[in-house]
Amino acid sequence: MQTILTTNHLTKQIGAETIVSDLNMHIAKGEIYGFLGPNGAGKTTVMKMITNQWKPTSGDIVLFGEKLLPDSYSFLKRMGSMIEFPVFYNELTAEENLKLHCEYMGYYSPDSVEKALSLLSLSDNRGKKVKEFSLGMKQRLGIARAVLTKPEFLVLDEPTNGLDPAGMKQFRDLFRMLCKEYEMTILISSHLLSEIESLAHTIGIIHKGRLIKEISMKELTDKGLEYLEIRTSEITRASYVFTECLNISNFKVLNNNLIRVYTKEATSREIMKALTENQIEIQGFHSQTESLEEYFLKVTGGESECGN
Amino acid sequence: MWKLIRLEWKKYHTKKYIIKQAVVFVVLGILFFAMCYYVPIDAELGISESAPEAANMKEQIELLTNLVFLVFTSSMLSSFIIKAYNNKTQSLMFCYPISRKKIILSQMMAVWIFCAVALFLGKLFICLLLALSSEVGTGLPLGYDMLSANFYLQIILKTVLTVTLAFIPLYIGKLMKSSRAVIITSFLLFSVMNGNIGDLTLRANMILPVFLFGVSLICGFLTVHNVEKEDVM
Repeated sequence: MQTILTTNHLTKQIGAETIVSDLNMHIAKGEIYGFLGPNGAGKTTVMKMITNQWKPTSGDIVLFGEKLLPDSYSFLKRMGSMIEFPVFYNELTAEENLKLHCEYMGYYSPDSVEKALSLLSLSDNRGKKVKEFSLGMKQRLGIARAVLTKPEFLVLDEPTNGLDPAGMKQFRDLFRMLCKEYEMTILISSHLLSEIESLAHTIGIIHKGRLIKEISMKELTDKGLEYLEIRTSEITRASYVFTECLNISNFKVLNNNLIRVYTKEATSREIMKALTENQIEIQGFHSQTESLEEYFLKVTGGESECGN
Repeated sequence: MWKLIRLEWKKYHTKKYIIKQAVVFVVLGILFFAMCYYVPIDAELGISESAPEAANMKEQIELLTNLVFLVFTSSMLSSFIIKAYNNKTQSLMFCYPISRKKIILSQMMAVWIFCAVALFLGKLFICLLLALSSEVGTGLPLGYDMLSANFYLQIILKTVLTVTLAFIPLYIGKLMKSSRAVIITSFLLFSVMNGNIGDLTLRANMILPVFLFGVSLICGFLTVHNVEKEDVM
């Protein structure tokens, strides 16, 4: 599959602090890439480097097959972005802001502004000055501007901030539509893991500036997000049975009497049988499916707050 | 480049600046007019008591309009560039497929062209107002001849110098990331240029304006230089 974005050992240092370290990221054409990480993990920094606002300390960014240089800018014509919070010329109206964007992007298509406003349910506010907009409306207008020129690659940093549930659903549907109908590749970060779970084809998890996992949602499902939680007072012996008798390596001791076993390597029947044969007392036993949030917490070592 | 300059004017509603400047020049015109004609007539000589000042009128006009415009140009540069960095609209600009150098240069040129034309026209307006009044009124000698090419050459040179000087406050403001620093530096700069201690004034010295003009160009260059490699904070 053709790759839109690749980063090779991407690193960003500010002063003595390393914000992003040795990051290798791959985004395939036409996919929605969910970018997850706790606060301060470096998501926004990566997005700023991709859009050329910040310059990498070392490493490369290859976009549309070409390596970005400090003075590269023509690639920006093929991109749409909204990073951190949407910024506008507040004294201009929504329509004037979008027209200005078209002028700077060198994009001339009749009705494109009207279509973008309508797509984001902002047609009635086209003549309103942006300074009178609420955060949610600015967020919508930011998306309208990002998609206005039908870019090949869309970079969105926390686009659902400030939206109500109905707005979030509208955004989700919009991103799916853009990806499907316009074959847009979308890089999206969000603090709402459930949003990403239902939207992304691939997720990248960044933690303390390092990309610790990059995995497709399909692979994640296939890999065995289903698990058994077994309550027993004999944790050590149970662990021994999993390793030695069942060859299961993917399990996690949650506390002194609770163990979680990912069931890809053995069926629940086999697990139960092995434990009973080894005379391990089972106090509780139930099967569950791991959510993306739990997976995220697992790979980041239990950071409870995601978002940047 | 011209398109970028026009877009800058459009973005910042430059029409409102035109109105502001028109008001400033009308007020200055009235002020100079009053200085020339609304003072008592000397009973012995039969001419206005302000006649000695009127002979230096062009210098007075230059001094006041240059002060106003050095501050005005600096304030506009601050709005177009420093505030754009502070309110993040410059980050937005750098997301467009245009070289950063070209963007900043277009912002500087948008202000420079606008202020240079306004200052030139404003000076002409005031000089013309006084000259016409002198012609039809008291016949007070004003010390300048609007029919001479030298008159226009001087106005153009001083206008270019004044407007270009604003690149020094711009550079200081960019370094300090402060709009206030731009305005304060413009005042200080004017004080250096036009202040006097006793009979000593640097205004009469040709070396200082030439030196400051050179410094302004260097500051303009430094504002744009290296911008491609900077992180936009």
